[in-house]
Amino acid sequence: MQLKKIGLKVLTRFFFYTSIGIVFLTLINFIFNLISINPLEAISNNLDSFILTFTVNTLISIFVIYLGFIVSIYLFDDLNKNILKYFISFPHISFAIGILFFFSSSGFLQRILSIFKDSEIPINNYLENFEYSILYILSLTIRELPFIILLGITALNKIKFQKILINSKNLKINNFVTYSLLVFPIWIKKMYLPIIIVISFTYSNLEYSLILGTQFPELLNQVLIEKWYEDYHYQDFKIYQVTFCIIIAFILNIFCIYSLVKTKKYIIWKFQKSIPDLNLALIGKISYKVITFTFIVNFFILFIFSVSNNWYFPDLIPKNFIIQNYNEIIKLNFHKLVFSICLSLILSCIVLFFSLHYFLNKQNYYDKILGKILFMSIILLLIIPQNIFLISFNSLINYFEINNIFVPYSISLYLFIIPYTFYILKETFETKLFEKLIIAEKNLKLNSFKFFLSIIYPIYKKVIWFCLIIGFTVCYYQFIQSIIIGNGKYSLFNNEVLVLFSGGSMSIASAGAVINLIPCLILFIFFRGNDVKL
Amino acid sequence: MMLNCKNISIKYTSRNLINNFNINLKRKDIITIKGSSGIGKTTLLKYILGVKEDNFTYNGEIYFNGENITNQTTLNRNISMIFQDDFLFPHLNIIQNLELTNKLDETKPKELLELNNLIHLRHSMPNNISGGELSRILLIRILLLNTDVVLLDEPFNGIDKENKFEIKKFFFDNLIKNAKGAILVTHNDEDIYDNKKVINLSKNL
Repeated sequence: MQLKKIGLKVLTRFFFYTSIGIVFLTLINFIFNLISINPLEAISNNLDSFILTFTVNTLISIFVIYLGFIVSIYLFDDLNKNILKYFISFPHISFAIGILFFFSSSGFLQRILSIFKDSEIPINNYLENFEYSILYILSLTIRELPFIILLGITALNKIKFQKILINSKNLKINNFVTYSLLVFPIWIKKMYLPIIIVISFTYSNLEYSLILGTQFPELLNQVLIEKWYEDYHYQDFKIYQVTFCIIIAFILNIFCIYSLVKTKKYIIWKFQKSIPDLNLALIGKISYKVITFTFIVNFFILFIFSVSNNWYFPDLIPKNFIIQNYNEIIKLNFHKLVFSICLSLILSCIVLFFSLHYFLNKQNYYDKILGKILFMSIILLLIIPQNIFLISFNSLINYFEINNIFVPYSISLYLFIIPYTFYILKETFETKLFEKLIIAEKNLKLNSFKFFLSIIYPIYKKVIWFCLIIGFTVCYYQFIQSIIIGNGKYSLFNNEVLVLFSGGSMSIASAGAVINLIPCLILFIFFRGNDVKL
Repeated sequence: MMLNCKNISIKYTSRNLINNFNINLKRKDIITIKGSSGIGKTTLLKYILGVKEDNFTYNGEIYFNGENITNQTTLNRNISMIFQDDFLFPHLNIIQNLELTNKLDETKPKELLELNNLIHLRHSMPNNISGGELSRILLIRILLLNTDVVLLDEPFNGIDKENKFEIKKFFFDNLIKNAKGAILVTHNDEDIYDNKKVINLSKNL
C-alpha cells in the first residue's frame, strides 16, 4: 500500500513537472525567437492585418464585457439561465457554419426575405468584405457571451450583488449609477481572467475567419497560418514577425479595455447626478433573447440543411428529408469521430485523475513551490493566445527531432485541459469544508481510497463529473493543434467538419456540424449539476 | 405627524411574526423597538423602508405626513436605513462614498467629517478603518442623504464597551441636531435612548 502511494506521488509529480517544464520551455523558446526579429519591420510588414485584428478584436471584447455584464444582471434571479450551459457546448466551427448559412447571400435570411420580395435567391455562399467584418464581430461576441454570462453571474454572487442593490436603493441611487458605478467596478475585478481568456481566444481562433470568408487585409491569425504553410522550416522569422504582431495587438487590446473601464468610471462619477436612469434590464433582456434566438436558429439551420438533398432548395424547408448525408459522414469519418471521443475522454480522465490526486494529497506530499509554479503556468496557458504557444511548441518538437508526433500532439491537447480542470477543482477544494474533511481523514486514520469513495466522491461528485465534461469538451473542440502540431495526421472530427465544408457540399458539411455538436450536448444534457459553481 | 404605521402584520409562510403593529414617529423622536432574535424586527424595518423579502406576507399601511406611501418604492420614500451589517462601497474611498449619496451642499461631506473629527479618514479605503469609525461614517452618509426618517437596525452591535457610549452619543446627538425622526431596533436594553418611547415586540405578538 505504501509503495503504491509513493508510486502515485512520483507519477503525479512527474505529470505536473513535465507539463510545467513544457510550458516554460515553450515560452522561453518563443521569447528567444522574438528577440531576433525587428519589431518595426514586423509591424510594417503586417500593418493592415494588425490594424484590422486590433480593431475587430477590441470591439468584440468591449461587446462581450458590457453585454456580458448587463445580461448577467438581467439573468441573476432568472431560472432560465441554465440554458446557457448548453450553448457553451456548441462547437465554434458548427456555430460559424450556422452563422454563415443564415447570413450568406443564399442563406436562410435571404430565403425569408425572398418570401416578401418575391426575388430569386442567388446561388453563392459568400459574404461581402464589410459583412464579413460585422459577422465576425457578431458571431464571436454571441458565441463567447454564454461563457462570460455564466461566470458573470457567479461573480455577482461573490460580490454580494443583492446587498449592494438594497443598499443603493436605501441610499436613493438610481439603477444605472448603481450598476455602472457600484457593481461594475467590483464585478470586473472578479472577471479579469475570463475576459482575458476570451480576448486570447479571439486572437488565436481560426474557425470563424476560415468559415466566414477571407478578405484583404486578413486577420493576423489567418496570416500566421498562411505563413505557416508557406514558410514552414524555411523562414521562421516571418512566422515570428506575425506572432510578434499578435502579441502586441493582444497587449494593446487589454490596455485599451483597461483604460476604457477606468475612463468610464471617471465619466460616470463626474456626471452621476445628471445621468438618466437608463433601462439596462431592457438591454439585458433583448441581448439574452438575441443570444438564445441565434443559438437555437443556428442549430435549426444546420439541421434543415443537413437533411436536404440539394443545398440550393428554394424554400425555407426542403420538400424531402433525407438522412444520406449523415450516412455518408458516418461511413467516411466514423473512425475520426471515435478517435476524437476516445482521445478526449482518455486525456480528460488522465488530467482529472492527477489533479484529484494532487488536491487530495496536497498537504501530505507537495511543497508549496509546485503549487505556485503550477498555478503560474496554468494562468499563462489560459491567457497566451494558443496559436502563438503552439507555433513555439512545434519548433521545439522540430528541434528535438521527434518523429512520433502522436505523443507531442496529445501533450498539446491535454495541456489545455489542465487549466480548466485545475481551476474548477481549486475553487472547490481550497475551502474550509475540504480542509476539515482532510483533517478528519487523518484523525480517523481512513484509507485514502476508501476516504475518496465514501466521503469525497459523494460530496463532490457533481464537481468531479463537471470537470470531466469540461475537460472532454475543451479537448474535443481543439482545432489548431492538428493544424500546427499534428500537421493533419491526427486531426479531430472538429477539423474534419472544416474539410467537409471546404469540399463544397454544404448539406454534408451541415450534417458534419450537427454530428460534431452531439457528443458534448449529450453530456451537458445528462449532467444536472446546476449548483456547480463555475 | 411624520411617519405613521397602521396595523402592520407580517407573516413568514404561515407563521405570524408581527401582529397589528402601530407607530407614530415625529421629528426629533427616537423610538426604540425591542424584541428577541428572530421575532421580525429587521423585516419590519425593511418593510417600512420599502424592501419586501420573498416568502413573507405583508399587511397594513404606512403614511408619511398624511400621504399613504405603502406602495411607493424605496427610492421615492423619505426614509433611509442603517443596516445591521451595513457597509461602505469597497472600491470608493470615504469621501467618495459620502459624495455619492450627498443631497446637501457640495461642501457638506467634508464639513461633517471635520465637525466629527474624522477628516483624516477622507482618503482612506473602507477596509482600512475601524468598526467604530465605520459606524460614524455610516451615520454621516445617512445624514447627507437628508431623509426625514432614519431606521437603525442594531447599529451598536459589535462595538466594544469602551467606544459604545461615545458612538451612541454621536448617533443620538446628530439625529436630534438634524431634526430627524428615528426608529432604533435592538435586543439590548442598554441601547435604548428614551425609556418612555419603547415598543416591546414580544408583547405585540
